[in-house]
Amino acid sequence: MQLVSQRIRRLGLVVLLCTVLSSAASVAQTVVYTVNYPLAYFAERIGGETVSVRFPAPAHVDPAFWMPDLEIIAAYQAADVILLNGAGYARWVGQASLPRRKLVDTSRSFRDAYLPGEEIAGHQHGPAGAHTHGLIAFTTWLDPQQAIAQARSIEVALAMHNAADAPALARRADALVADLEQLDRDLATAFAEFGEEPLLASHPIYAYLARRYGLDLRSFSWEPDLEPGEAGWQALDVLLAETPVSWMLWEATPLDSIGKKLAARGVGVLVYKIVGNRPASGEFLSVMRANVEMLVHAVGRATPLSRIGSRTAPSFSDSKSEGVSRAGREIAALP
Amino acid sequence: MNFDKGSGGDAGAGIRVNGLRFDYASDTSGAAPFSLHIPRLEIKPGERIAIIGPSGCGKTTLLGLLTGVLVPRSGRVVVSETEISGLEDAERRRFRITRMGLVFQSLALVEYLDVLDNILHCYRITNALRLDAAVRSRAHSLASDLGLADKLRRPVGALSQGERQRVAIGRALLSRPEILLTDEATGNLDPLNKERILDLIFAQLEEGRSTLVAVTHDHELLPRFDRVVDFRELVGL
Amino acid sequence: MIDSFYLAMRYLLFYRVRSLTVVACLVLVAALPIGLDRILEESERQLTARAATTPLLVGSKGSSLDLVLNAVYFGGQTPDPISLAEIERIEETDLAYAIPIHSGSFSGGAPIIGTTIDYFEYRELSLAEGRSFAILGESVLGAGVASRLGLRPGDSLVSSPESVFDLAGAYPLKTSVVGVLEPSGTPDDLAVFVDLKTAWIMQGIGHGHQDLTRVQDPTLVIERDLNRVVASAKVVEYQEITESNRDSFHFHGDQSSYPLSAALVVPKDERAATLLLGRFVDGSLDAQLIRPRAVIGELMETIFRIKDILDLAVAIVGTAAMLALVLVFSLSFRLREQELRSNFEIGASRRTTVRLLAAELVLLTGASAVCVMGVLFGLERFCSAIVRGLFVT
Repeated sequence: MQLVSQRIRRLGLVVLLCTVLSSAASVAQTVVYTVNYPLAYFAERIGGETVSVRFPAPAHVDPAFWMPDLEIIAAYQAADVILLNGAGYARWVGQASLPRRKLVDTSRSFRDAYLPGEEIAGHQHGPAGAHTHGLIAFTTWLDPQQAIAQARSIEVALAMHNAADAPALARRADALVADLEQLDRDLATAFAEFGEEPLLASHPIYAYLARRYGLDLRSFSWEPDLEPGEAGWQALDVLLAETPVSWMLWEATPLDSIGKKLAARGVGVLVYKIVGNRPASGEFLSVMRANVEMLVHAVGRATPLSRIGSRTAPSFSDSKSEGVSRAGREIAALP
Repeated sequence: MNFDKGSGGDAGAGIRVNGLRFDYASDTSGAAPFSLHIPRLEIKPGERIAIIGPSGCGKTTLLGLLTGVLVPRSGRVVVSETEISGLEDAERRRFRITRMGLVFQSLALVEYLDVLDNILHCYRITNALRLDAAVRSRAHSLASDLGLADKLRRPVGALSQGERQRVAIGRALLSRPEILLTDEATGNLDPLNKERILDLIFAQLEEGRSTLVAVTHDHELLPRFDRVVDFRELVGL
Repeated sequence: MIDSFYLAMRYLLFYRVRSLTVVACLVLVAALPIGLDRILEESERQLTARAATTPLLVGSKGSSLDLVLNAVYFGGQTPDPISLAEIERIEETDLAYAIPIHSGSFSGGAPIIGTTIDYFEYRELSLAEGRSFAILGESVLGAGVASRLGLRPGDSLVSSPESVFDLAGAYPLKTSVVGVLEPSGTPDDLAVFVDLKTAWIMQGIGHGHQDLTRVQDPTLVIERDLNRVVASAKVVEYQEITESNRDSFHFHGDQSSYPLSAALVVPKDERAATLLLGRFVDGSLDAQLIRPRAVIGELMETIFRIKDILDLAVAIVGTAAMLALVLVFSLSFRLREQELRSNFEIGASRRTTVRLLAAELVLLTGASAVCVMGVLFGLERFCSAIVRGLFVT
């Protein structure tokens, strides 16, 4: 009897092993490379176990201006799918040789709706020569509707690569879209509380946010870790003299000195993280949720927010825990 | 008909001509046709005769008739007891190449062959003669006797007139013919070389005791022959 | 009979010039039609094989043959350009993907083809040395180019425009060789490959120069305000892309308007191909979409029609040559009349003359046959390379 049960147990183990091995063999993961963190997050949410998402930019750099080395470019070349943000994001893409067939411009569907970005001096050759423009605003994902369009673009790209998985991809994409729709509603509610008063922005990176929620946003080109200088403060004062402003959006906590000077002028600091790279903690939606909470807290209202759900996104293979947070006092942040 | 020769050492052939008549048909130039009538001619075996006469009288034609190259209209030509005038063409050719040696007035050497190949030439253009090691050895020996030993691989076009005539003689004598017929064999030579050529011919003929019929213009050489035949007397002029 | 062959051999060797001439004539008459047939057969095979691996091709309107010859075989004249927007339109249909082709520059006599790395995957080209290009200013060489120019990864080469009169745009650009392809027996062996953007820089559409917003030399700037700097013609453009100046390279204008010579279009399936072709059939678009195999098929039909005429001409010439040879033999026979007459007078049989002439004919024919076999054997062995040399370059 004991012998029989031992044999049954062994047989069961063999069957289990075969099942595991065959299921592992049948799932060939799609290797996906992205140029920024939001796209990596979307790809993970949508692709699930069928994808292996790589976002190799170091955590301490801004992916929009990062230049990968040749080894990393070779890794991008070997990917199954390469997700681009579009709108001129990631300058290195314009200098690198990537397989056209594998490129997915996730913001192509709304490229007619791109907004101008930071004003820099362009140039032209000769009075009649074609000229370079200033940058296009490339933080497209800050508008949740655009983020949804980008997510759908990723879903289509993954489905084209693995048609058999299309139903599951659609399910996961729908779940992500539902979360982004909720985020959209929450942000609309939060920004509505700011009324008609203009907002300031340390950098012209919130253009899509402003458009989406009808914000009167006036942008500067200030760095959180660099004093603006006399000219910068004067420009602010001129603006404040024309229009009263209560808040300034920052992508990271500014220096104490900047915060104090702003406070002296009656301008509060709102740290609205754009999550271009991996956050030090949490993930894309949790950081966006934190942005919402920060806005709500800033205007002193406790607006109940819907639960996004208990789902947590899988961790990335190249994930690092460093974020872009700054030293100094955050005037408005999550408790 | 088998005309194979016996071994060397037999006496040369005799020639008898009776009532020979021959005509060349008239040509397109309108000149009068040529006729030849020889009532009788007898040459003993081993005899050396010279035939003399003015140019154009028919001496070369006579040689043609004696060798079977030309066929008489009537009469008989008997060589070595064989009436060659009655043979078929193939038989006459075979008889000629196996039993006779010819030295042409023009020498008729083959320009694209060297000295040795010219001497051996007769053996390459008939099945009646077999080219074997013995023949090759004799050719070398003959060439040596004729003073051509060091010129065997030279093209005949590179030889002097006297050397060319020696090659022609060597070719004619290689098969140890019973009869040697020459037509102006010393025609273009200086007196010294004439004597030398004749010495060579006589020496070779002596060995095989062959008959010699030589058509010649050169009266200085006549004393060396057994008999001199005046062609005009032969044809009854 | 052996003696006849000996005499015939001596005769032919003595008159060797005449003999060689006769042999050469016979070889030409025999080998030419067979050789032509073989070369045409191999040409058809190679051209068709290359065209068959290119399902569709989009390019400017005009001669479809010129388009195929330039984009598929990298030969002929560079066609009028189409814009990148054309292939973007095709890709938006989701019926196919496109591999851009840009030609017009050369280096060391080899065409420089601007494309994307999809091209290597599609053509199943693998690397013998080094790696594929990864950034601006890098090039990958075909095996034949590398061998001819003696270049390896780490070396460099300089581009030159198709026309020496193209003074307005193209400047020589020095690129770094980073890879050499394995021999493929196709026109890819004789080309230099660069990224499409590098090719545009070679054409002068993109360039690199010092930061005009920071220059101090007033002669470099015509006009300047907060938003715009107008540079003068004195601004020197970089002739080489290096790590230190790569960031300065940029393009002016809308990239969708940038030129291509053509693009390989790879449809998902035959239905997709038919649908795509249907969009171009009415001629209202600015480009044409063609099937290279059909174009080459028409070309081969034309070539074979010409070949029929050529065959007739060869047959006529061959007949004339044979008649000339007969004349040569008959004249030769007359020249040898004295020799043959002497043979007769010596006592040679009638058959001797026949055997001599027959032996001569057999030797000449035999020598010719051996030469023809040698020529055809050599042709068979090198036919592929000969055709590549004739049509690939």
